[in-house]
Amino acid sequence: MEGTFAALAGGFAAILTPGTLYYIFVGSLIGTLIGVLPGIGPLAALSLLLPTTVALPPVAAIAMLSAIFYGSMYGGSITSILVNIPGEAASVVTCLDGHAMAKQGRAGAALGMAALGSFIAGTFGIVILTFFSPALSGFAIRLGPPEYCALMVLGLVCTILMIQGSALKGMIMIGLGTAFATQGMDVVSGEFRFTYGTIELTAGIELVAVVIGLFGVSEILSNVEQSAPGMAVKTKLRNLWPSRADWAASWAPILRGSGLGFAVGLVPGGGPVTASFLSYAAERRIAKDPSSFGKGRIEGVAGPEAANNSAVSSGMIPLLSLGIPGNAVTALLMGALIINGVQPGPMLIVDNPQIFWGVVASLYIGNVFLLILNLPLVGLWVQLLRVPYSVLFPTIVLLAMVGTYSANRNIFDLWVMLGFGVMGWFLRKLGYELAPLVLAFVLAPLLEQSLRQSMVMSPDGAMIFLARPVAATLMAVSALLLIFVAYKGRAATPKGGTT
Amino acid sequence: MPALNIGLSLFWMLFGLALVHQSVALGLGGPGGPGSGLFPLLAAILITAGGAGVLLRDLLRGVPEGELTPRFWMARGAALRVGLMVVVTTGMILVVPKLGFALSGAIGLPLLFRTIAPRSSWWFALLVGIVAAGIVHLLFAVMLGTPLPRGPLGF
Repeated sequence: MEGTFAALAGGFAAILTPGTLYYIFVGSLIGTLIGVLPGIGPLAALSLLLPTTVALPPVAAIAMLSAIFYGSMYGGSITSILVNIPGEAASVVTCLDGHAMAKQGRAGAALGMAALGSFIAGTFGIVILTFFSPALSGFAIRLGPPEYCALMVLGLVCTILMIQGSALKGMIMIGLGTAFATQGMDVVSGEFRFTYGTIELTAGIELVAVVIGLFGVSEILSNVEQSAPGMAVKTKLRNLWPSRADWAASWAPILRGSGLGFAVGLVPGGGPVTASFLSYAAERRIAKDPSSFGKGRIEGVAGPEAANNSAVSSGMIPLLSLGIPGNAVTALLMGALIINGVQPGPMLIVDNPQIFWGVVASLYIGNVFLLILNLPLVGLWVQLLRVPYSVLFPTIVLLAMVGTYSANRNIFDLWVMLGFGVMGWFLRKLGYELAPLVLAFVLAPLLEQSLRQSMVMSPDGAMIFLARPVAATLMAVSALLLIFVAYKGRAATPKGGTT
Repeated sequence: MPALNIGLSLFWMLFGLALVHQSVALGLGGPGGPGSGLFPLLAAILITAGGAGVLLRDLLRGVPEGELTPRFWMARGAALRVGLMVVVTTGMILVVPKLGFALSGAIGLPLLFRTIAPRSSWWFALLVGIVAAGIVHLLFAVMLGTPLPRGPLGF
C-alpha cells in the first residue's frame, strides 16, 4: 500500500507541470465539446487528434487523449438531456429520463447530477485502478472466448429487459443490428457478406453514421412533424443544483452504476455504452415503479452516467496492465503510446513507472478539471435551450453531416446516416425501440469473434458454453431472464387490442 | 396503423427468410470451424421469429394499447415538412462533394429553417444559414482541423 502511494506521488510529481496540466485541461475541454456536439464521438475526435500528440511527451499525450475520452462522457449527457440527441453512444439512455426531466423544467438537476455522478464514479474507478488493478486485471484475463461470448449474450438479453414496449420488436431490432454489423468483409474468411457488389459496403457500415441517423436525424424528423415547433424547453438557472431529494434518490444508483460500470469496462468488449445500458436496465428492474422510467426519473440519469464514466476508468486497466485494449478508444490510446515509443503491457509499470503512474495521476486531475468545467458551465449549456428549434434543428442536421463525414471521410456514410434516420423515424411510429439495434450493432462483431473462437476451441461445438462454469452460469442467467421476459410479456399483453 | 404494423411484421418475416437463404449460401461452417454465414443466420432467425411473433400476437390478441402512435402523421402539413427535410438533406449530401460543407450548409440551412418556421423572412433564414454554416465550419475545419470537402470558394 505504501509503495502504491509513493508511486502515485511520483506520478503526480511527473504531471504537475504547467505543460502537462495544460494538455489535460485542453483534453478535458475538447472532450466535453466533442461530447456536446451531436455527430462527433470520442473515437472520431481521438482519431483526428492522434497525429497531434506525436510531438508531445508520452504522459502528456496519453493524459490529453484520455481526458478527451472521459470528457466526452461528461459532455455527451448534456445534449442528451437538453435536446434528446445523444452526444455520443454511451449517452443514449440518458435521453430517456434526462430529456424528460428537461421537459419538466429540471434540466439543471439532471445536468448537475450527471456531472457529479460522473465525477464520483470516475474517481471511484481510478481509485480501484490505482490499488487493485493487478488483481482485477488478473481476473479479466482468466476469461476466455466462451465467457466473453456468454457475457455479451447476457448484455443483449439485458437490452431486451430494458425495452419498454414489445420484447418481440426488441428482438427484431437486435437481429437487425446484428445483420447490419455483419455487412462487409468477413475478417476471418475474407468473404464479402451482403455487399451486393457495392464497394462502399466492403468495409461495413460506420457506427457513427448509424447512431447519428437513428438518434439525431430521426429525432429531428419526428419533431418537425409538429405544426408549430416552438422554443426548446426553458430552464431556470435556480434549478441547476440537484435538490436533497434528488441526492437521496441518486446516491444508490451512482454507487451501483460505479460498480457495474467498473466491472463491465474491465472486460474486453464491455465499455461505456454497454455499462450505461446495463445500469439503466438494472435501475429500472429494481425500481418499485418501473413504468415511471422514461418519464423523468433522476435514477435513470445518475446510474448510467456513473456507469459510463466508471467503465472508462476501468477500461484503462487491461490497457495499462496487460497491453490489451478493451475497445476501439483504448486501442487508439495504445496506438498513441506505441507512436511515442512506449510499449503498453505488464512491463510498463516496471520499465516506465513514471508513465504508468503519470497516466493514473492524470486521470485524477482530469476528473477534477471536468467537474470544474462542467458544473459552472452547466448554466452556459442550458442557454442552448433558449435557441429556437427552427435554428437548432437545421444546425444539428449540418453538425450531424459534418460529424458523420469526419469519422471516416466518406460521403457514402452521409447516405447511411440519412437512410437510418428515415428508418428510425418510421420504426418509432410503430413502437420499435432503436437502442437495442445500436447495442447489437456494437456488440455483434465482438460476439461473432468470441463465438467463432469458442467453436474452434471446442471439440463438442456449442457444448463448450455448458462445460465451462462461468460461461454456463452466464448463459443460464440469460436463459432465465429470457423466460422471465416471455412470461411477463405474455401476462402484460391485453386481449382484444386495436386490431 | 395496426394494418401497417401487420404489414411490417410480414416484411420482417420475408426479409428474415431472405437473410436465412443468403446466410446458408455463405456457408455455415465445416471441420475448420464456423463459416461466414453462421452469425448472420442467427440474426436472420431473430428477425424472422420476431416478425412471426408480432404478426401472430397482432392477429390473435391485437396490438397492445399505446404501442403505436395514434396516427401516422402527427399534425397537419407533417408530410410536407418531413418530405422537405429529407429532400433538402438529400440535396445537401448530393452537392457536398462539389460545394463543400460550408457552402452546402449556407444554401441548405435556410431552406430547412423555412421548412420549420415558414413565417420567418427569407432574409433571416439566409442569415441563420450563413451564421450556422460558418460556426460549424469554424468548429470542424478550423478548430478541430478536420479535412472537409472544399467548394469553389476555397472552403
